[in-house]
Amino acid sequence: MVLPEERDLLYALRTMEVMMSSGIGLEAALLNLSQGGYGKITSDFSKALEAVGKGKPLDAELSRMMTKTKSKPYRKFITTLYNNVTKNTDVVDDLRKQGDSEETSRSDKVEKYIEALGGLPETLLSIGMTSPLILSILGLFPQLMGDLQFIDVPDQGTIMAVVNGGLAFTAFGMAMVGIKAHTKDPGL
Amino acid sequence: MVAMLFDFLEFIGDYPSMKWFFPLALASLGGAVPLMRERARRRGLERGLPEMLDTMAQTVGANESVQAALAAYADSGQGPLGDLARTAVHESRETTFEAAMTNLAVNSRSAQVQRSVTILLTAIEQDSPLRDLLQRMAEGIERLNDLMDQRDSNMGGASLMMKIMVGIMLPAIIATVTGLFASPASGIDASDLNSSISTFLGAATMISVAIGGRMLGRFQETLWQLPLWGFLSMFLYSFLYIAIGNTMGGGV
Repeated sequence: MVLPEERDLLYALRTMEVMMSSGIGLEAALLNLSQGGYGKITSDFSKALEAVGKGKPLDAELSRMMTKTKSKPYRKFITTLYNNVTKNTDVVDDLRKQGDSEETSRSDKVEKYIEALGGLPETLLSIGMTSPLILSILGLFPQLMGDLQFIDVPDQGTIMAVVNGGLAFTAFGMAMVGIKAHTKDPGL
Repeated sequence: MVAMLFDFLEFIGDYPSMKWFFPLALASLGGAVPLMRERARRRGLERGLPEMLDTMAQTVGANESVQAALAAYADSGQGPLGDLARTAVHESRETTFEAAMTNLAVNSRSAQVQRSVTILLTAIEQDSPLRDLLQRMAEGIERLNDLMDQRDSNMGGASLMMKIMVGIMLPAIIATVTGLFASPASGIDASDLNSSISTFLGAATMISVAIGGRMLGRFQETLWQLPLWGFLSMFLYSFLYIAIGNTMGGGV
């Protein structure tokens, strides 16, 4: 599942790259990110710059963000910024490379998503169509048999309890099959 | 026509779950239709964005100003983005280019357009070379649009198939079975079963529509369509059960 900070990471990378290659300083570029449009990244940098405004060093805030996040590509992005602050590295080149890599990764994720969900409709329809058909005939069974009961058929109430339980289980099963569409979402 | 409407309402009145669902389905249309129209409009803008940025890059590359570049696109640009560009050019003559572009971004209500305008305005403010920037943005957005279209074309068919199979075909098939074996005139009491099946069909259809929407990345938009699809499926089952039962069903 795509983490919230990964959803807008590529856009943030490209924006930072464009701004910094245009000669804008790191803090001004981060201020731009913190002003909105990049979801979780915006709120993270907004908090960090607020702390910097109160006197905390930027590298300490970036370091705190690095340890806090669970997302690898986002940590890599913050590490790039951290290295620029502490070691004055070529941030534009690093951002461009990571942006290219993220773009390739996004395309791969979409391909995999399409592949992973290829069989989902068939599975969903197999469960969703077979089970209610069988259960609807089962629900009529005691009455259809009428007096011709050569086997011991449970009463209508018991049969309806089985039918209702089966239908509820089928609906639950359909939802569980479909949950894959949510968990594997590439975050486009 | 009015008589048919009354018959329809009377029919629904006999089914408590449908009676509850019907107003909800009608009300949800009020949320579903504007969202669908808004998405179509936004995608129209986003599809036109690479062309706009590319045209501007070419004009800027010919040593023209960025204002002239926007005017060049506005002259030839088609679709909703062309209209927004023409409005922006008109506004820029009365205010500033920056204010007009900001307005264009706000009116687009598209994150892609807004991000592109922000980057462009920042680059203008910093006096940085625009040609490469515009070209790279155009290429990036083109690639993103291609990915979104690829997802739509691959998932759209499956999503539609699930809606039709579960929402329309399944009620028809089960109504045929119950209508033939336990028609209203047969003396078999199928009311409990019909109520259970109808509720299940409503739930199953809503689940399928929600999954189809998630596959396309439009879950929130799809949420508004759920009551309508649920109602359609329940109504179809109840209607077909009576129709098939009364015309073809004889019971056992």
